[in-house]
Amino acid sequence: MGMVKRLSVKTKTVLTILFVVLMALLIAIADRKASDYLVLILNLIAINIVFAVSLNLINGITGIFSLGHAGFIAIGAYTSVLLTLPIEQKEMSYLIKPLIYPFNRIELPFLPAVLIAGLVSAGFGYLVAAPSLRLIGDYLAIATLGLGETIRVIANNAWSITNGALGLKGIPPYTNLYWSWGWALITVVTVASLVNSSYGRALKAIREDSIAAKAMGINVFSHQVMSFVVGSFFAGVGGALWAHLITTIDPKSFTFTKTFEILIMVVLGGLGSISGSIIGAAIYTVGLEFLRVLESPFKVWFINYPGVPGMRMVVLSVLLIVLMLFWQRGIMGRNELSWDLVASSFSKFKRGGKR
Amino acid sequence: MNEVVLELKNVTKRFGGLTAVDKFSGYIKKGELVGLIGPNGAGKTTLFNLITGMYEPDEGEMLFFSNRLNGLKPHQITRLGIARTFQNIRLFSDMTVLENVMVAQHCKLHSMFSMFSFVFKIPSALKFERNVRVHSEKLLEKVGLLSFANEKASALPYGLQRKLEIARALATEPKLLLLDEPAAGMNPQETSELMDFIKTIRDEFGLSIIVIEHDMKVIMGICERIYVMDYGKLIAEGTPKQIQSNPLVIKAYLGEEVLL
Repeated sequence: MGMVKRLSVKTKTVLTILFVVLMALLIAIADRKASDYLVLILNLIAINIVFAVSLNLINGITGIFSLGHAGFIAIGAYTSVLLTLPIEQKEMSYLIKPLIYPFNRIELPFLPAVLIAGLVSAGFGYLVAAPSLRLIGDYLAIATLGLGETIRVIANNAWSITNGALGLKGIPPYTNLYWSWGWALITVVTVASLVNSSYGRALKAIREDSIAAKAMGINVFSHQVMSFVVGSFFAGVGGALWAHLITTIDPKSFTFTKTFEILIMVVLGGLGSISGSIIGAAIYTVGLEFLRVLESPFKVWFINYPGVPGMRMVVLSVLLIVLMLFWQRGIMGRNELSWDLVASSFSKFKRGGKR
Repeated sequence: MNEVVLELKNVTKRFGGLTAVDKFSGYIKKGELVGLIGPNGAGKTTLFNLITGMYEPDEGEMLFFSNRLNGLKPHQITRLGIARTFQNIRLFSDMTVLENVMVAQHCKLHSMFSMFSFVFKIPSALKFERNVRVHSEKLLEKVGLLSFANEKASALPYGLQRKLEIARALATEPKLLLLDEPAAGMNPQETSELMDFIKTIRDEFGLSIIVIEHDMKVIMGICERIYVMDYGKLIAEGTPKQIQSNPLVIKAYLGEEVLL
């Protein structure tokens, strides 16, 4: 720790602004020049950042082991789609049972739909947090897992709202790089400012020792609920972005494997580190795409590889196991990537690795 | 000046068939340093847990100034001005020394909604952060831990961890401090430093302090008044001198004299 070089606040602010401007430029270029495939991957990275950072707030920072994230993503996705889907598309889709009022009359623009999706998800988070946070540890994990599945089962059977197992198609493809990366930035900035404030210290204290936190005057229960609600809000926002990217959703998109996918990103990056979650989301998304080659036949020298569907999941799992064996606390541990850290590793590099 | 800070009337706590605290009555005045002693399992820590709201008493009443403590949650009691340390150190070990002290001042924020002012970095929130930091650094300086401010709490040597736990309790700005075996595991040198430290903070922060301790040197050396518990009951009360010669206390510690 003593090795870390301290930069002045001014330098850091300038660097941060430069970094954000550079990212914005890159996104603007990608939006115009990049192939549809690359744009899709970039969008997915941003949305996975939203998912991972929000789950990390709940699991990593506050230490509530929640496995219900897919449920909140589902709520966000369905809410936003019900609000944005064109009325004639709604009439065409709901074949078994007609869509209930008022959704069959509503057609909102994207931004209000995303915000409402986040708020509805946060509201559900609040309703769910109150009873389930009376449990701790494994019991809480099981309860939230069951909760996520319950939401999916409801989505599968509430035909007059979600169109049941048929799902919803023809969702307007509103999500573009600006929306997804914009929301990713908002998520990261919000969660980071929360975590670096007095509230974040309280959340970490609860994670470290909830009895001592109580004795220090922290209302443990209401802080846990707050963390859960904020996490649910961004899960809902991410769900809305995701639905408007892939343009078709059905209950099968929100099984618990979705939660585990996000959990993998969080743990890979480091439970409790926001920058870790960003790195984890990026590595997981890109890695999954790179491994796609394993699913189509190819030839190395004289060996013919037939291409096995599902092979990339097998290889990815093995890679993750190896990674976790050597990096037990994830890539970042609980540390954050900061300009100080970058500067000190850069100067170390310049001095040729000498301390 | 000699105002009563905390008063306990017939406080009782049962765990199933075991009465851990049995009709305990006692009081502490402003600026007093009171000792609480007794053999293992006498109910001393349970009494602390009752006062701090970790447990709810089955009978009796607890008054802190004019506030009734019965039924209040631990965090509410801390906000009223009672802070404690733990027998087995409970620091936030993965946080820095400074953060440990800063977190104890979080209780000054009363509404969960002020969270938004921190997210949007409104000037009042930034000012709060600055004040908490400055105050915490001052406190660490007073207790001599400032040079460790950015170390992880778990990296401190044992004696300093005990000290940090006391500093963290002080950061909640208490009027009454409950110390649960502060000298446990310390060597004689550390113990005598701790005795001076407890007296110093009592005077400097205008505290009333209750100490649970097995080290009689500490208890006899710093306490003005002592309560002795055995099997949940209060068996003696008095000055160190009175306690030392009290036959009931000797019996509780050494067992009854066997008559041949």
